[in-house]
Amino acid sequence: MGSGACLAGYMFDLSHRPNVLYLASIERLAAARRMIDEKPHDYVVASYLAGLAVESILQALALNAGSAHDAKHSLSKWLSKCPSALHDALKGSAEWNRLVALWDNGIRYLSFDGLLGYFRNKGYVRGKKGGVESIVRHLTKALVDAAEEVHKKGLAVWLSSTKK
Amino acid sequence: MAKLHEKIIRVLRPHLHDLQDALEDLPGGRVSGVVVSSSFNSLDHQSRQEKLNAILKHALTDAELSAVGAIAALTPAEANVKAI
Repeated sequence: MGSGACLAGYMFDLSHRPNVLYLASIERLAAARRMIDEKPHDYVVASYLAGLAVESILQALALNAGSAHDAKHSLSKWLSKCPSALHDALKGSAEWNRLVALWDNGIRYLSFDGLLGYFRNKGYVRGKKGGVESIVRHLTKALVDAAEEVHKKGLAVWLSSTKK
Repeated sequence: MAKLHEKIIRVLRPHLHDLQDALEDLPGGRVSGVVVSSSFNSLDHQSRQEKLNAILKHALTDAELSAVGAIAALTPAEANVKAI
């Protein structure tokens, strides 16, 4: 059945509704933060959920503005469907740059070692001091922090656009 | 490719080695998306945005600048390495 819900014989696909995506984005970001702040840590899940939170708020904004859901997972492509207020808010943003550079929808399939290899292949491990866990934690935290900043800007645009 | 998109790439190319264009033309004449260059290898994310801004500010009019959206500046590794 996927992400749809079945009630009294009717199928409701809730996953593409802007308000559902907006609320889901807040929950996903809180969960990402918990995966870093609370033990047992899970850096793979934290990294994935942080980007998913941003993808969700971008989708909420894009669908609310009348765009179609194309089922792709490119943050940059979703931003292109969002209102110009969000483009203005993210213009020149180092956090947006970092998030686009580091997040990939496929992170969810990685193990801890896979995530380390992914960061290494992206060029983020060379020259970093400390043990493997400390390096992965540092990079994951940077990704989650960046996602949080971008998410805040998305929420601000969402709240102002849904007030009208 | 829209006129502003073409101009952005034309003014960036002399400053960014092996520039790859993944910008998109948006409704209303806006341009946003991604550019990729090995010139970003040695720069942190803030410095990359400052570099883009400095080049574009010098070459575009105020009206053109206001039509430029968020542009992510990636290294070739960042652009090409996928998780799976």
